[in-house]
Amino acid sequence: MTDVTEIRIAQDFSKYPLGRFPKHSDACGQNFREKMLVPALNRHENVRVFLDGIEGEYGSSFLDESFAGLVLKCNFHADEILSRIEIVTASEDLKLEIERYIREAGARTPT
Amino acid sequence: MTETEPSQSRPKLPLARNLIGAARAYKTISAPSTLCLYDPRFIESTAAYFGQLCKSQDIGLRPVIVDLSRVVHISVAAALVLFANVSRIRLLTNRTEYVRIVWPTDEKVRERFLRGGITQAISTPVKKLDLMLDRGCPYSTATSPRDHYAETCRYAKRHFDVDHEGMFSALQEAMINVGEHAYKGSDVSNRLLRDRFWQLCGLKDNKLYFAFYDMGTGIPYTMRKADPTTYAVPDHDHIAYAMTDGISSTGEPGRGRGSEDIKRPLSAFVNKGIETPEMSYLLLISGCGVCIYHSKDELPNTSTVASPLKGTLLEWSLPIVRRESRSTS
Repeated sequence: MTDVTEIRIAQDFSKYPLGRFPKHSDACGQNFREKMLVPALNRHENVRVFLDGIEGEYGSSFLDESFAGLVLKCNFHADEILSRIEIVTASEDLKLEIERYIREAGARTPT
Repeated sequence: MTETEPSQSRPKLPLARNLIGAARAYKTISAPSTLCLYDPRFIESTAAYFGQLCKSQDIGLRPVIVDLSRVVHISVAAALVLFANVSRIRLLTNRTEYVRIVWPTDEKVRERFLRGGITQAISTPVKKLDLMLDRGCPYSTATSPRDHYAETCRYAKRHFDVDHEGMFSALQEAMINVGEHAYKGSDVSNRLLRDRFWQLCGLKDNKLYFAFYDMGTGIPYTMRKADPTTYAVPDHDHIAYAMTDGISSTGEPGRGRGSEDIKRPLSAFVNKGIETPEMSYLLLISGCGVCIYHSKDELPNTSTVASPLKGTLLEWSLPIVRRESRSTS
């Protein structure tokens, strides 16, 4: 059986995710990546991230820093992230956007 | 003509400072009858008026009378820039009474000012400027997105139950851009003004609108500083280039995505067949450059104004889409 952990951003992190760095907000992409995603990836085989339920919307700064940041700043491979993180949302556009950011980060990272 | 003093009581100041203040003559700056930053017929005179207001504080701080007596129409973006200019002078001087307002002579115009919130906005004393959303005013100002973004989300939820897909991503990125770029290289040393932005949101004439303004150095300045070889490039071309996906003055990978977010509200409902591109626009004015987008994927209509607008102004005008008419949830 696959070891999966779940992160519900609205409940577990913030209802108002915002920005890239802590200078923008405590609920920024860098904090989400460092405090939620990386520990979850280090402890579990797969991570299911539920995006829905927040107030407002996700900005590209938050999404890019959170997910592409795993590849650019935490030495994960893009393919590994795409296979180990499952994005759950009613918005297919949002899911595709995150996958695009991860792929683009992978393309920028020397193998 | 109705002249209204700010509603707050006179601040307790040292006597000498009061005497100096009383001795200073107020400079009157009279607005044209139409203040509009979208219609080409009025944009020049409106930008020139705001230029006068801005420059009134260049050679020493001095009290001003903002004479709106002739005004019969003010657009959303112009109303926000007026609010910003009035509050900027008050923040610079830290004295509410340094700006006196002469309200429009026409009673119906005064009523519209009252209903639209501009009366409340430009009557707000300095110490209450950062509390405007909580007080139910559609105008607001802040120096950081940290709390202001969440307050704006709550305000929108309380005051308009319409779909605004993409609008809050756009607003986030606009707020973040202010701290990242807008005041870099600026001579603003006043801590109350540094990184400050002004915002207006609501429903008007069957449209959902958001306007956002900072009084920083402006996009053309930032772009020329990043690449001095573009010195001769017109301001509107600098704006259009800065709004291209992936373009960022930081030069870091993954940055510069915010411009896509800022344009996205224009296409959110077009892609779902709910609206047509003509129904929406995004207006951007920075320096002497004007760009108007009707679609996130098309080039903007561009023009130039002779009087530069300080900082950067964005205005989204979007059709009202009730939540139940969305094709997806």
